[in-house]
Amino acid sequence: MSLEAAINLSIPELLRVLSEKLGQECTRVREIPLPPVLASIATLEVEVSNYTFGQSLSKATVTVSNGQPFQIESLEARVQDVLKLIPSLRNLLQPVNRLLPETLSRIARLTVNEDAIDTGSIVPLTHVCRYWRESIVSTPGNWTLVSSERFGLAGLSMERCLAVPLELGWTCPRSERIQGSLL
Amino acid sequence: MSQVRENPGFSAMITPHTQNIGTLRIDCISIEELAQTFPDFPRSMPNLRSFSFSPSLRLNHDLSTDPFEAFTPALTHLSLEFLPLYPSLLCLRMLTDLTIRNGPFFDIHLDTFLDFLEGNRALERANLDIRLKLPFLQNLRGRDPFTNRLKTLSISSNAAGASALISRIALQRGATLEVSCDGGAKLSDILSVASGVAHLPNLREATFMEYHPDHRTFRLVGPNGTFSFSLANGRGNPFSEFHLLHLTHVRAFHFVRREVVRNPAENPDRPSPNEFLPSSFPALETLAIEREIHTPILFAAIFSNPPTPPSLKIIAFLDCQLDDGFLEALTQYASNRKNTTSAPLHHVVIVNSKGDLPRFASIGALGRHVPVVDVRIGEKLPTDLI
Repeated sequence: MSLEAAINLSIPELLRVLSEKLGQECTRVREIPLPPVLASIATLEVEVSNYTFGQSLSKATVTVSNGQPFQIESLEARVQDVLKLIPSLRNLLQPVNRLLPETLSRIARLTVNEDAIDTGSIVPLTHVCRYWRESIVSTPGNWTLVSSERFGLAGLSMERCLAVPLELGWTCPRSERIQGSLL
Repeated sequence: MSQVRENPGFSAMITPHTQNIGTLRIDCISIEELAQTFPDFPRSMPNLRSFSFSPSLRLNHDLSTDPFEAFTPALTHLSLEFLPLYPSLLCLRMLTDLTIRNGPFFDIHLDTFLDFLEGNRALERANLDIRLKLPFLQNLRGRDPFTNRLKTLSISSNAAGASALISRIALQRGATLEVSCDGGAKLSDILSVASGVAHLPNLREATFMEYHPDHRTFRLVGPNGTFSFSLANGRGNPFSEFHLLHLTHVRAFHFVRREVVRNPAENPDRPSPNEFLPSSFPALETLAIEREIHTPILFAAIFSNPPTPPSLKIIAFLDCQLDDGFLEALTQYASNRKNTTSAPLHHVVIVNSKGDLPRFASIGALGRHVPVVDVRIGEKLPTDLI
Protein backbone atom coordinates (compact mmCIF):
# COMPACT_ATOMS: atom_id res chain seq x y z
CA MET A 1 0.00 0.00 0.00
CA SER A 2 1.32 3.43 -0.93
CA LEU A 3 1.62 6.20 1.59
CA GLU A 4 -0.90 8.31 -0.35
CA ALA A 5 -3.49 5.56 -0.16
CA ALA A 6 -2.77 5.08 3.53
CA ILE A 7 -3.42 8.73 4.29
CA ASN A 8 -6.93 8.48 2.80
CA LEU A 9 -7.89 5.65 5.12
CA SER A 10 -9.89 6.22 8.27
CA ILE A 11 -7.86 6.30 11.40
CA PRO A 12 -8.90 2.89 12.72
CA GLU A 13 -8.22 1.30 9.31
CA LEU A 14 -4.93 3.05 9.00
CA LEU A 15 -3.82 1.90 12.41
CA ARG A 16 -4.89 -1.66 11.64
CA VAL A 17 -2.91 -1.67 8.38
CA LEU A 18 0.08 -0.06 9.97
CA SER A 19 0.22 -2.43 12.86
CA GLU A 20 -0.16 -5.45 10.59
CA LYS A 21 2.47 -4.20 8.18
CA LEU A 22 4.93 -3.17 10.83
CA GLY A 23 4.27 -6.23 12.89
CA GLN A 24 5.18 -8.49 9.99
CA GLU A 25 8.31 -6.62 9.07
CA CYS A 26 9.44 -6.24 12.63
CA THR A 27 9.49 -9.96 13.12
CA ARG A 28 12.29 -10.05 10.53
CA VAL A 29 14.50 -7.78 12.55
CA ARG A 30 13.99 -9.11 16.02
CA GLU A 31 17.66 -8.64 16.75
CA ILE A 32 17.32 -4.88 16.46
CA PRO A 33 16.11 -3.16 19.63
CA LEU A 34 12.62 -1.71 19.28
CA PRO A 35 13.13 1.84 18.04
CA PRO A 36 11.12 4.78 19.41
CA VAL A 37 8.85 4.89 16.37
CA LEU A 38 7.68 1.31 16.86
CA ALA A 39 7.24 1.89 20.55
CA SER A 40 4.98 4.86 19.89
CA ILE A 41 2.93 2.90 17.36
CA ALA A 42 2.51 0.09 19.84
CA THR A 43 1.30 2.55 22.47
CA LEU A 44 -1.07 4.11 19.98
CA GLU A 45 -2.43 0.71 19.07
CA VAL A 46 -3.18 -0.09 22.69
CA GLU A 47 -4.96 3.21 23.14
CA VAL A 48 -7.09 2.75 20.05
CA SER A 49 -8.01 -0.78 20.93
CA ASN A 50 -9.57 0.68 24.07
CA TYR A 51 -11.86 3.06 22.16
CA THR A 52 -15.55 2.43 21.68
CA PHE A 53 -16.95 4.53 18.90
CA GLY A 54 -20.21 6.11 20.03
CA GLN A 55 -22.85 8.13 18.30
CA SER A 56 -21.13 11.42 19.01
CA LEU A 57 -18.67 11.21 16.10
CA SER A 58 -20.24 14.29 14.58
CA LYS A 59 -18.84 16.19 17.55
CA ALA A 60 -15.40 14.93 16.63
CA THR A 61 -15.02 13.09 19.87
CA VAL A 62 -14.94 9.43 20.79
CA THR A 63 -15.64 7.89 24.13
CA VAL A 64 -12.87 5.88 25.63
CA SER A 65 -13.79 2.74 27.56
CA ASN A 66 -12.59 4.30 30.79
CA GLY A 67 -14.88 7.27 30.22
CA GLN A 68 -12.23 9.84 29.10
CA PRO A 69 -13.13 11.89 26.01
CA PHE A 70 -10.52 11.86 23.24
CA GLN A 71 -10.08 14.38 20.47
CA ILE A 72 -9.91 12.89 16.97
CA GLU A 73 -7.75 15.80 15.89
CA SER A 74 -5.20 14.89 18.49
CA LEU A 75 -5.21 11.28 17.40
CA GLU A 76 -4.88 12.34 13.76
CA ALA A 77 -1.93 14.57 14.58
CA ARG A 78 -0.18 11.73 16.30
CA VAL A 79 -0.77 9.43 13.34
CA GLN A 80 0.70 12.07 11.06
CA ASP A 81 3.75 12.20 13.32
CA VAL A 82 4.07 8.48 13.04
CA LEU A 83 3.73 8.61 9.26
CA LYS A 84 6.55 11.09 9.05
CA LEU A 85 8.74 8.54 10.73
CA ILE A 86 8.01 5.88 8.15
CA PRO A 87 11.12 6.73 6.04
CA SER A 88 13.32 6.24 9.10
CA LEU A 89 11.58 2.99 9.74
CA ARG A 90 12.09 1.90 6.17
CA ASN A 91 15.83 2.68 6.53
CA LEU A 92 15.90 0.66 9.68
CA LEU A 93 14.56 -2.37 7.85
CA GLN A 94 17.28 -2.26 5.18
CA PRO A 95 19.69 -5.21 5.39
CA VAL A 96 22.66 -2.91 6.04
CA ASN A 97 20.93 -1.58 9.12
CA ARG A 98 20.66 -5.02 10.61
CA LEU A 99 24.35 -4.61 11.44
CA LEU A 100 24.97 -4.38 15.14
CA PRO A 101 25.97 -0.95 16.44
CA GLU A 102 29.36 -2.36 17.40
CA THR A 103 29.93 -3.50 13.81
CA LEU A 104 28.90 -0.13 12.42
CA SER A 105 31.30 1.57 14.80
CA ARG A 106 34.09 -0.74 13.80
CA ILE A 107 33.47 0.09 10.14
CA ALA A 108 33.43 3.80 10.99
CA ARG A 109 36.83 3.53 12.66
CA LEU A 110 38.22 1.84 9.57
CA THR A 111 37.55 5.03 7.60
CA VAL A 112 40.21 6.77 9.68
CA ASN A 113 43.49 6.04 7.95
CA GLU A 114 46.88 5.91 9.62
CA ASP A 115 47.81 9.45 8.66
CA ALA A 116 44.55 10.98 9.79
CA ILE A 117 44.80 13.75 12.35
CA ASP A 118 41.22 13.52 13.57
CA THR A 119 37.93 11.72 13.08
CA GLY A 120 36.72 13.92 10.24
CA SER A 121 36.18 10.90 8.00
CA ILE A 122 33.64 9.45 10.44
CA VAL A 123 31.41 12.52 10.53
CA PRO A 124 29.72 11.95 7.12
CA LEU A 125 28.66 8.48 8.28
CA THR A 126 26.65 10.06 11.08
CA HIS A 127 24.56 11.86 8.46
CA VAL A 128 23.36 8.69 6.74
CA CYS A 129 20.40 7.89 8.97
CA ARG A 130 19.26 8.06 12.55
CA TYR A 131 20.31 4.50 13.37
CA TRP A 132 23.86 5.02 12.04
CA ARG A 133 24.13 8.33 13.82
CA GLU A 134 23.05 6.92 17.17
CA SER A 135 25.29 3.88 16.79
CA ILE A 136 28.39 5.83 15.82
CA VAL A 137 27.97 8.88 18.02
CA SER A 138 27.26 6.82 21.13
CA THR A 139 30.49 4.82 20.81
CA PRO A 140 33.22 6.80 22.63
CA GLY A 141 36.00 4.84 20.96
CA ASN A 142 35.10 6.44 17.62
CA TRP A 143 36.00 9.91 18.84
CA THR A 144 39.38 9.56 20.48
CA LEU A 145 41.48 11.11 17.72
CA VAL A 146 41.65 14.84 18.34
CA SER A 147 43.66 17.55 16.60
CA SER A 148 44.24 21.19 17.33
CA GLU A 149 43.96 21.87 13.60
CA ARG A 150 40.18 21.51 13.65
CA PHE A 151 38.96 23.24 16.74
CA GLY A 152 35.23 22.58 16.27
CA LEU A 153 35.60 18.87 15.67
CA ALA A 154 38.07 18.63 18.58
CA GLY A 155 35.45 19.97 20.98
CA LEU A 156 32.82 17.61 19.66
CA SER A 157 35.17 14.64 19.86
CA MET A 158 36.23 15.37 23.43
CA GLU A 159 32.56 15.58 24.39
CA ARG A 160 31.78 12.25 22.75
CA CYS A 161 34.82 10.21 23.76
CA LEU A 162 33.88 10.35 27.46
CA ALA A 163 36.57 8.53 29.50
CA VAL A 164 38.27 6.63 26.67
CA PRO A 165 41.97 7.61 26.38
CA LEU A 166 42.49 10.44 23.93
CA GLU A 167 44.92 10.53 21.02
CA LEU A 168 45.82 14.18 20.93
CA GLY A 169 47.67 15.90 18.11
CA TRP A 170 48.84 19.39 18.95
CA THR A 171 50.58 21.49 16.35
CA CYS A 172 51.20 25.11 15.62
CA PRO A 173 49.04 26.79 12.99
CA ARG A 174 49.86 25.91 9.39
CA SER A 175 50.87 29.51 8.62
CA GLU A 176 53.58 29.41 11.28
CA ARG A 177 54.90 26.10 10.01
CA ILE A 178 55.20 27.43 6.48
CA GLN A 179 56.88 30.57 7.76
CA GLY A 180 59.30 28.45 9.81
CA SER A 181 60.24 26.32 6.82
CA LEU A 182 61.03 29.39 4.75
CA LEU A 183 63.38 30.88 7.32
CA MET B 1 57.87 32.95 24.29
CA SER B 2 55.70 33.18 27.36
CA GLN B 3 52.32 32.97 25.76
CA VAL B 4 50.83 29.98 24.06
CA ARG B 5 50.57 30.79 20.37
CA GLU B 6 48.03 28.16 19.56
CA ASN B 7 44.40 29.03 19.84
CA PRO B 8 44.14 29.56 23.61
CA GLY B 9 40.68 28.03 23.46
CA PHE B 10 42.24 24.75 22.44
CA SER B 11 44.52 24.74 25.47
CA ALA B 12 41.56 25.48 27.70
CA MET B 13 39.59 22.74 26.00
CA ILE B 14 42.18 20.01 26.49
CA THR B 15 43.24 20.90 30.03
CA PRO B 16 40.27 19.12 31.70
CA HIS B 17 41.13 16.00 29.69
CA THR B 18 44.82 15.92 30.61
CA GLN B 19 44.55 12.81 32.75
CA ASN B 20 42.73 11.08 29.95
CA ILE B 21 45.37 11.56 27.26
CA GLY B 22 46.77 8.22 26.08
CA THR B 23 48.59 9.43 22.99
CA LEU B 24 50.22 12.83 22.64
CA ARG B 25 51.71 14.02 19.37
CA ILE B 26 53.27 17.46 19.46
CA ASP B 27 54.65 19.15 16.42
CA CYS B 28 56.20 22.60 16.13
CA ILE B 29 55.38 23.56 19.72
CA SER B 30 58.16 24.69 22.05
CA ILE B 31 59.11 22.95 25.26
CA GLU B 32 57.99 26.06 27.17
CA GLU B 33 54.56 25.96 25.59
CA LEU B 34 54.24 22.29 26.46
CA ALA B 35 55.09 23.01 30.11
CA GLN B 36 52.71 25.95 30.19
CA THR B 37 49.76 24.05 28.77
CA PHE B 38 50.38 20.86 30.73
CA PRO B 39 51.88 21.81 34.09
CA ASP B 40 53.62 18.93 35.79
CA PHE B 41 54.04 17.08 32.48
CA PRO B 42 54.38 14.10 32.13
CA ARG B 43 53.25 13.25 35.66
CA SER B 44 49.93 14.93 34.91
CA MET B 45 49.25 12.28 32.25
CA PRO B 46 49.15 8.94 34.06
CA ASN B 47 47.49 7.24 31.07
CA LEU B 48 50.10 8.36 28.56
CA ARG B 49 51.24 5.39 26.46
CA SER B 50 52.53 7.10 23.35
CA PHE B 51 54.51 10.32 23.16
CA SER B 52 55.76 11.96 20.00
CA PHE B 53 57.51 15.31 20.17
CA SER B 54 58.95 17.39 17.39
CA PRO B 55 59.49 20.73 19.08
CA SER B 56 60.11 24.10 17.59
CA LEU B 57 63.58 25.10 18.74
CA ARG B 58 65.22 28.46 18.67
CA LEU B 59 68.84 28.59 17.60
CA ASN B 60 70.06 29.45 21.09
CA HIS B 61 67.87 26.90 22.79
CA ASP B 62 69.56 25.19 25.72
CA LEU B 63 68.97 21.47 25.37
CA SER B 64 71.27 20.43 28.20
CA THR B 65 68.61 20.53 30.90
CA ASP B 66 66.14 17.68 31.09
CA PRO B 67 62.75 19.41 30.73
CA PHE B 68 60.74 16.38 31.74
CA GLU B 69 60.05 14.73 35.03
CA ALA B 70 59.73 10.98 35.25
CA PHE B 71 57.54 9.45 32.54
CA THR B 72 55.03 6.81 33.35
CA PRO B 73 56.91 3.50 33.12
CA ALA B 74 54.07 2.14 30.97
CA LEU B 75 55.01 4.34 28.01
CA THR B 76 55.26 2.02 24.99
CA HIS B 77 55.70 4.39 22.03
CA LEU B 78 58.30 7.15 21.96
CA SER B 79 59.19 9.39 19.04
CA LEU B 80 61.60 12.30 19.39
CA GLU B 81 62.95 14.77 16.90
CA PHE B 82 65.86 17.11 17.60
CA LEU B 83 65.90 16.24 21.28
CA PRO B 84 68.51 14.36 23.27
CA LEU B 85 67.67 11.17 25.12
CA TYR B 86 67.29 12.84 28.52
CA PRO B 87 67.75 10.86 31.74
CA SER B 88 63.98 10.94 32.23
CA LEU B 89 63.64 8.95 29.00
CA LEU B 90 66.53 6.58 29.60
CA CYS B 91 64.57 5.12 32.53
CA LEU B 92 61.87 3.78 30.23
CA ARG B 93 61.71 -0.01 30.04
CA MET B 94 58.41 -0.90 28.34
CA LEU B 95 58.92 0.59 24.89
CA THR B 96 57.69 -1.35 21.88
CA ASP B 97 58.22 1.44 19.32
CA LEU B 98 61.09 3.89 19.33
CA THR B 99 61.81 6.62 16.80
CA ILE B 100 64.72 9.02 17.20
CA ARG B 101 65.46 11.65 14.60
CA ASN B 102 68.19 13.63 16.15
CA GLY B 103 70.59 14.83 13.52
CA PRO B 104 73.48 16.56 15.26
CA PHE B 105 71.92 16.48 18.72
CA PHE B 106 72.67 12.85 19.48
CA ASP B 107 75.40 13.24 22.07
CA ILE B 108 75.06 10.11 24.08
CA HIS B 109 77.68 7.43 24.57
CA LEU B 110 76.98 4.37 22.46
CA ASP B 111 77.29 2.04 25.43
CA THR B 112 74.56 3.95 27.27
CA PHE B 113 72.36 3.90 24.22
CA LEU B 114 72.83 0.15 23.70
CA ASP B 115 72.01 -0.41 27.37
CA PHE B 116 68.82 1.57 26.82
CA LEU B 117 67.86 -0.52 23.79
CA GLU B 118 68.72 -3.76 25.54
CA GLY B 119 66.75 -2.71 28.61
CA ASN B 120 63.60 -2.31 26.57
CA ARG B 121 63.10 -6.00 25.99
CA ALA B 122 59.67 -5.61 24.37
CA LEU B 123 61.01 -3.32 21.67
CA GLU B 124 59.63 -4.38 18.26
CA ARG B 125 60.36 -1.40 16.02
CA ALA B 126 63.27 1.02 16.24
CA ASN B 127 63.82 3.81 13.77
CA LEU B 128 67.08 5.58 14.52
CA ASP B 129 68.21 8.57 12.51
CA ILE B 130 71.32 9.54 14.44
CA ARG B 131 74.87 10.69 13.86
CA LEU B 132 77.36 9.31 16.32
CA LYS B 133 80.43 11.43 16.83
CA LEU B 134 83.80 9.88 17.41
CA PRO B 135 84.02 10.65 21.17
CA PHE B 136 80.83 8.72 21.75
CA LEU B 137 82.09 5.72 19.81
CA GLN B 138 85.45 5.52 21.55
CA ASN B 139 86.21 3.34 24.53
CA LEU B 140 83.25 1.17 23.68
CA ARG B 141 83.45 -1.74 26.03
CA GLY B 142 83.60 -5.13 24.38
CA ARG B 143 80.09 -6.44 24.28
CA ASP B 144 78.50 -9.21 22.31
CA PRO B 145 75.50 -8.50 20.12
CA PHE B 146 72.43 -8.60 22.31
CA THR B 147 69.34 -10.57 21.37
CA ASN B 148 66.00 -8.80 21.25
CA ARG B 149 62.47 -8.96 19.87
CA LEU B 150 62.92 -6.33 17.19
CA LYS B 151 60.92 -6.95 14.03
CA THR B 152 62.21 -3.86 12.25
CA LEU B 153 65.40 -1.92 12.84
CA SER B 154 65.94 1.14 10.65
CA ILE B 155 69.21 2.99 10.95
CA SER B 156 70.10 6.18 9.18
CA SER B 157 73.57 7.28 10.13
CA ASN B 158 77.15 7.79 9.14
CA ALA B 159 79.05 4.60 8.38
CA ALA B 160 80.78 4.47 11.77
CA GLY B 161 77.52 4.86 13.67
CA ALA B 162 75.64 2.39 11.49
CA SER B 163 78.32 -0.29 11.73
CA ALA B 164 78.65 0.19 15.49
CA LEU B 165 74.92 -0.33 15.95
CA ILE B 166 74.26 -3.18 13.55
CA SER B 167 77.22 -5.16 14.76
CA ARG B 168 75.84 -5.15 18.32
CA ILE B 169 72.14 -5.72 17.72
CA ALA B 170 71.48 -9.34 16.81
CA LEU B 171 68.11 -9.32 15.13
CA GLN B 172 65.90 -12.37 15.41
CA ARG B 173 65.06 -14.55 12.42
CA GLY B 174 62.51 -12.93 10.14
CA ALA B 175 63.40 -9.39 11.17
CA THR B 176 63.97 -6.50 8.79
CA LEU B 177 67.13 -4.42 8.88
CA GLU B 178 67.14 -1.14 6.96
CA VAL B 179 70.36 0.82 6.76
CA SER B 180 70.80 4.19 5.12
CA CYS B 181 74.30 5.63 5.13
CA ASP B 182 75.58 9.05 4.21
CA GLY B 183 78.95 10.76 4.23
CA GLY B 184 80.40 8.89 1.26
CA ALA B 185 79.94 5.53 2.95
CA LYS B 186 80.11 2.22 1.12
CA LEU B 187 78.59 -1.16 1.82
CA SER B 188 82.06 -2.45 2.62
CA ASP B 189 82.38 0.18 5.36
CA ILE B 190 79.67 -1.41 7.41
CA LEU B 191 80.43 -5.00 6.45
CA SER B 192 84.14 -4.77 7.11
CA VAL B 193 84.01 -4.16 10.87
CA ALA B 194 85.32 -7.07 12.87
CA SER B 195 81.97 -8.31 14.13
CA GLY B 196 80.14 -7.50 10.87
CA VAL B 197 76.40 -7.21 10.61
CA ALA B 198 74.82 -9.31 13.31
CA HIS B 199 71.80 -9.94 11.10
CA LEU B 200 73.75 -11.32 8.14
CA PRO B 201 73.54 -14.99 9.21
CA ASN B 202 69.75 -14.65 8.84
CA LEU B 203 70.22 -13.53 5.25
CA ARG B 204 72.23 -16.48 4.00
CA GLU B 205 69.06 -18.08 2.65
CA ALA B 206 67.88 -14.92 0.85
CA THR B 207 65.98 -15.80 -2.33
CA PHE B 208 65.03 -12.40 -3.76
CA MET B 209 66.98 -9.24 -4.47
CA GLU B 210 65.71 -5.89 -5.65
CA TYR B 211 68.00 -3.10 -6.77
CA HIS B 212 67.02 0.53 -7.37
CA PRO B 213 70.10 2.16 -8.93
CA ASP B 214 68.61 5.65 -8.98
CA HIS B 215 67.99 5.50 -5.23
CA ARG B 216 71.23 3.56 -4.71
CA THR B 217 69.23 1.07 -2.72
CA PHE B 218 69.01 -2.69 -2.65
CA ARG B 219 66.80 -5.05 -0.71
CA LEU B 220 67.63 -8.64 0.04
CA VAL B 221 64.70 -10.81 1.12
CA GLY B 222 64.66 -14.32 2.47
CA PRO B 223 62.61 -16.56 4.73
CA ASN B 224 64.74 -15.59 7.71
CA GLY B 225 64.98 -11.88 7.27
CA THR B 226 65.25 -8.79 5.10
CA PHE B 227 68.15 -6.40 4.65
CA SER B 228 67.94 -3.14 2.77
CA PHE B 229 70.82 -0.75 2.25
CA SER B 230 70.90 2.67 0.66
CA LEU B 231 73.38 5.44 0.12
CA ALA B 232 71.60 8.62 1.03
CA ASN B 233 73.94 11.22 -0.37
CA GLY B 234 73.56 10.40 -4.06
CA ARG B 235 77.08 9.07 -4.46
CA GLY B 236 78.51 5.60 -4.82
CA ASN B 237 77.01 2.49 -6.33
CA PRO B 238 76.19 -0.55 -4.19
CA PHE B 239 75.94 -2.68 -7.36
CA SER B 240 79.70 -3.00 -7.49
CA GLU B 241 79.74 -4.41 -3.96
CA PHE B 242 77.18 -7.16 -4.33
CA HIS B 243 79.96 -9.71 -4.16
CA LEU B 244 80.25 -8.88 -0.45
CA LEU B 245 76.82 -10.35 0.16
CA HIS B 246 75.77 -13.95 0.41
CA LEU B 247 73.72 -14.37 -2.77
CA THR B 248 74.06 -18.06 -3.49
CA HIS B 249 70.35 -18.75 -2.94
CA VAL B 250 68.95 -15.73 -4.75
CA ARG B 251 66.53 -17.03 -7.39
CA ALA B 252 65.04 -13.72 -8.56
CA PHE B 253 66.75 -10.40 -9.23
CA HIS B 254 64.73 -7.29 -9.96
CA PHE B 255 66.52 -4.25 -11.41
CA VAL B 256 64.30 -1.15 -11.21
CA ARG B 257 65.04 2.25 -12.72
CA ARG B 258 62.85 5.10 -11.47
CA GLU B 259 62.10 6.44 -14.92
CA VAL B 260 63.18 6.13 -18.50
CA VAL B 261 65.94 8.65 -19.25
CA ARG B 262 66.82 8.78 -22.92
CA ASN B 263 69.64 11.24 -22.50
CA PRO B 264 71.83 10.47 -19.44
CA ALA B 265 73.36 13.95 -19.74
CA GLU B 266 70.05 15.35 -18.51
CA ASN B 267 70.56 13.59 -15.20
CA PRO B 268 74.27 13.49 -14.35
CA ASP B 269 73.61 12.02 -10.88
CA ARG B 270 72.06 8.94 -12.41
CA PRO B 271 74.50 6.08 -11.85
CA SER B 272 75.76 4.49 -15.05
CA PRO B 273 74.71 0.89 -15.57
CA ASN B 274 76.99 -1.91 -14.53
CA GLU B 275 77.44 -5.29 -16.07
CA PHE B 276 75.27 -7.79 -14.32
CA LEU B 277 77.70 -10.41 -13.03
CA PRO B 278 76.04 -13.80 -13.19
CA SER B 279 78.78 -15.39 -11.12
CA SER B 280 77.39 -13.59 -8.05
CA PHE B 281 74.01 -15.24 -8.54
CA PRO B 282 74.59 -18.96 -9.14
CA ALA B 283 70.96 -19.90 -8.36
CA LEU B 284 69.30 -17.15 -10.39
CA GLU B 285 66.12 -18.26 -12.22
CA THR B 286 64.38 -14.97 -12.95
CA LEU B 287 65.91 -11.69 -14.09
CA ALA B 288 63.53 -8.71 -14.35
CA ILE B 289 64.65 -5.32 -15.65
CA GLU B 290 62.60 -2.11 -15.54
CA ARG B 291 63.21 1.12 -17.49
CA GLU B 292 66.81 0.54 -18.49
CA ILE B 293 68.03 1.96 -21.77
CA HIS B 294 71.49 0.40 -21.57
CA THR B 295 70.32 -3.19 -21.63
CA PRO B 296 73.28 -4.33 -23.81
CA ILE B 297 75.70 -3.17 -21.10
CA LEU B 298 73.69 -4.85 -18.36
CA PHE B 299 73.59 -8.15 -20.26
CA ALA B 300 77.15 -8.09 -21.66
CA ALA B 301 78.56 -10.60 -19.19
CA ILE B 302 75.54 -12.90 -19.52
CA PHE B 303 75.57 -12.95 -23.31
CA SER B 304 79.30 -13.58 -23.44
CA ASN B 305 78.94 -16.73 -21.38
CA PRO B 306 75.73 -18.59 -22.35
CA PRO B 307 75.87 -21.30 -19.67
CA THR B 308 75.55 -18.68 -16.94
CA PRO B 309 73.59 -18.29 -14.79
CA PRO B 310 72.97 -22.05 -14.99
CA SER B 311 69.37 -21.98 -13.77
CA LEU B 312 68.15 -18.86 -15.57
CA LYS B 313 64.74 -19.58 -17.14
CA ILE B 314 62.90 -16.28 -17.21
CA ILE B 315 63.93 -12.82 -18.42
CA ALA B 316 61.46 -9.94 -18.18
CA PHE B 317 61.65 -6.37 -19.47
CA LEU B 318 59.41 -3.42 -18.64
CA ASP B 319 59.84 -0.22 -20.68
CA CYS B 320 63.39 -1.13 -21.62
CA GLN B 321 65.08 -0.09 -24.81
CA LEU B 322 65.19 -3.30 -26.85
CA ASP B 323 66.51 -2.65 -30.34
CA ASP B 324 66.96 -5.24 -33.07
CA GLY B 325 70.60 -5.70 -32.15
CA PHE B 326 69.75 -6.57 -28.55
CA LEU B 327 66.95 -8.93 -29.57
CA GLU B 328 69.34 -10.66 -31.93
CA ALA B 329 71.90 -11.08 -29.14
CA LEU B 330 69.19 -12.41 -26.83
CA THR B 331 68.06 -14.88 -29.51
CA GLN B 332 71.62 -16.03 -30.00
CA TYR B 333 72.04 -16.46 -26.23
CA ALA B 334 68.87 -18.57 -26.04
CA SER B 335 70.04 -20.64 -28.96
CA ASN B 336 73.54 -21.19 -27.60
CA ARG B 337 72.16 -22.04 -24.19
CA LYS B 338 70.28 -25.01 -25.60
CA ASN B 339 73.63 -26.54 -26.42
CA THR B 340 74.87 -26.35 -22.83
CA THR B 341 73.99 -28.29 -19.70
CA SER B 342 72.35 -25.21 -18.21
CA ALA B 343 68.58 -24.84 -18.05
CA PRO B 344 67.15 -23.61 -21.36
CA LEU B 345 65.62 -20.15 -21.42
CA HIS B 346 61.92 -20.85 -21.09
CA HIS B 347 60.11 -17.55 -20.82
CA VAL B 348 60.79 -14.01 -22.08
CA VAL B 349 58.37 -11.24 -21.13
CA ILE B 350 58.43 -7.88 -22.89
CA VAL B 351 56.06 -5.21 -21.56
CA ASN B 352 55.93 -1.61 -22.72
CA SER B 353 53.58 1.07 -21.48
CA LYS B 354 53.70 3.06 -24.72
CA GLY B 355 53.51 0.18 -27.14
CA ASP B 356 57.14 0.62 -28.13
CA LEU B 357 57.64 -3.07 -28.79
CA PRO B 358 60.25 -4.96 -30.86
CA ARG B 359 59.53 -5.82 -34.48
CA PHE B 360 57.45 -8.88 -35.21
CA ALA B 361 60.33 -10.58 -37.03
CA SER B 362 62.64 -10.19 -34.03
CA ILE B 363 60.02 -11.64 -31.70
CA GLY B 364 59.41 -14.49 -34.10
CA ALA B 365 63.12 -15.31 -34.25
CA LEU B 366 63.32 -15.31 -30.45
CA GLY B 367 60.24 -17.52 -30.29
CA ARG B 368 62.06 -20.23 -32.24
CA HIS B 369 64.40 -20.74 -29.27
CA VAL B 370 62.26 -19.74 -26.30
CA PRO B 371 58.98 -21.66 -25.73
CA VAL B 372 57.09 -18.70 -24.27
CA VAL B 373 57.59 -15.16 -25.53
CA ASP B 374 55.02 -12.91 -23.88
CA VAL B 375 54.82 -9.46 -25.50
CA ARG B 376 52.22 -6.98 -24.30
CA ILE B 377 51.32 -3.36 -23.67
CA GLY B 378 51.06 -2.57 -19.98
CA GLU B 379 52.30 -0.62 -17.00
CA LYS B 380 53.61 -3.48 -14.90
CA LEU B 381 55.34 -6.80 -15.17
CA PRO B 382 53.22 -9.85 -14.37
CA THR B 383 53.14 -10.13 -10.59
CA ASP B 384 53.87 -13.85 -10.60
CA LEU B 385 57.30 -13.13 -12.08
CA ILE B 386 58.57 -10.92 -9.30
